[in-house]
Amino acid sequence: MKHPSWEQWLTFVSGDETSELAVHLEACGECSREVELIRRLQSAGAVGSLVSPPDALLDEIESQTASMRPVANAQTEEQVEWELADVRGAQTASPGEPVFLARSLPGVQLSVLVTAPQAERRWRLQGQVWVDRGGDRPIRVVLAHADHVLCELQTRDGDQFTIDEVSDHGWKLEIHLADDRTLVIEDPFA
Amino acid sequence: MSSAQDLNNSELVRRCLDGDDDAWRALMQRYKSLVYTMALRTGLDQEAAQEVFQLVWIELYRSLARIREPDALPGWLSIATRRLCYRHAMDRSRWVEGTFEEMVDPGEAPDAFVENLDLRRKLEETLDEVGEPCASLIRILFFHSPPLSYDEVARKTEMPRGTIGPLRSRCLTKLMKAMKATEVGS
Ligand SMILES: [Zn+2]
Repeated sequence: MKHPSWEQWLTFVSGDETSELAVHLEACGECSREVELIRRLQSAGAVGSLVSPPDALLDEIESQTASMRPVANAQTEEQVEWELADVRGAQTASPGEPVFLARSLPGVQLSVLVTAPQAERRWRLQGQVWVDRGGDRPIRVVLAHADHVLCELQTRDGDQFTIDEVSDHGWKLEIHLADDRTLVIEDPFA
Repeated sequence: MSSAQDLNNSELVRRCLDGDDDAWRALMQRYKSLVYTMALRTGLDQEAAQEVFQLVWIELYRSLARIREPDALPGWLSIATRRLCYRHAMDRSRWVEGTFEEMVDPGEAPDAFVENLDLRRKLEETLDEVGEPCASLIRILFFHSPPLSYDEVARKTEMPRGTIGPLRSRCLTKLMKAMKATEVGS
């Protein structure tokens, strides 16, 4: 088999696809591998070169993560549902107008105030958690979106917490109680 | 025991969760230039890009136990980088006109851009393995902007013009073999 030249393939890849070359490509594994490689090299060339950050930045990150722990998935999630009235409120609330949820569950009470972003995608979530027992132990609050943990903070029985974070719709607020219970509140506007 | 830099993402993530510092460092080494380049491309200056860079890795560290597809980490990092660049730009009122809407919306992730940037990263690594003179020749032929003519390539590489064609052929074959061995971009 007579293979087309490199120059012919370069022209072919840059969009000037002649049917003769296309037919050859269908039948010839050797050339199709070469053309595929040319395409990849050109795509990788078109994005420009990568820039390395200073190594000191990695050291800095390591020193920060050394004292951190990845946020584990909840063992069991207790969904705290928005009630119809709240959700209706969320649907008719104008941007910037907060939506309020207050619940009394076995052993725990909570209130959460959600303010949806106006022009920017910045959410404001304020809340308070009261526990009947173990009030001296920390409560972890996590804002997550899909498999991203956007922020994590600690609060205590009766203290108010505030989260001010950029997120798309569909976030999840997790309240990890000291006894392995996790309460989950979802974006009411999603 | 294999060294951390040879492990795939799933294994690295698993080891990170076990508290393996080498695995965490290897994960950062693998994608540091991808994240940093993305941050710079959103229009942030160097100082801001460095701040965002740190935040992206802190977010990844926190999220390690939740990563569903370790092989798709470039996409994950791209979403985190764009969100944090957007937040940074809003905080400081510093962004490049027209870039910030698409920076934050994962639905509009510039997948092809991230894929090609990651392909570039993998190719650069493979070229380092392939060695000279092939690495230089292929970089000059494909990664030079603007593209060079054969005469210019000959001048830059100090090779006679007539030897470039055969060498290029040999180098592409070598590269193809090396890519197969590391499964680049398959
Ligand atoms: Zn052929």
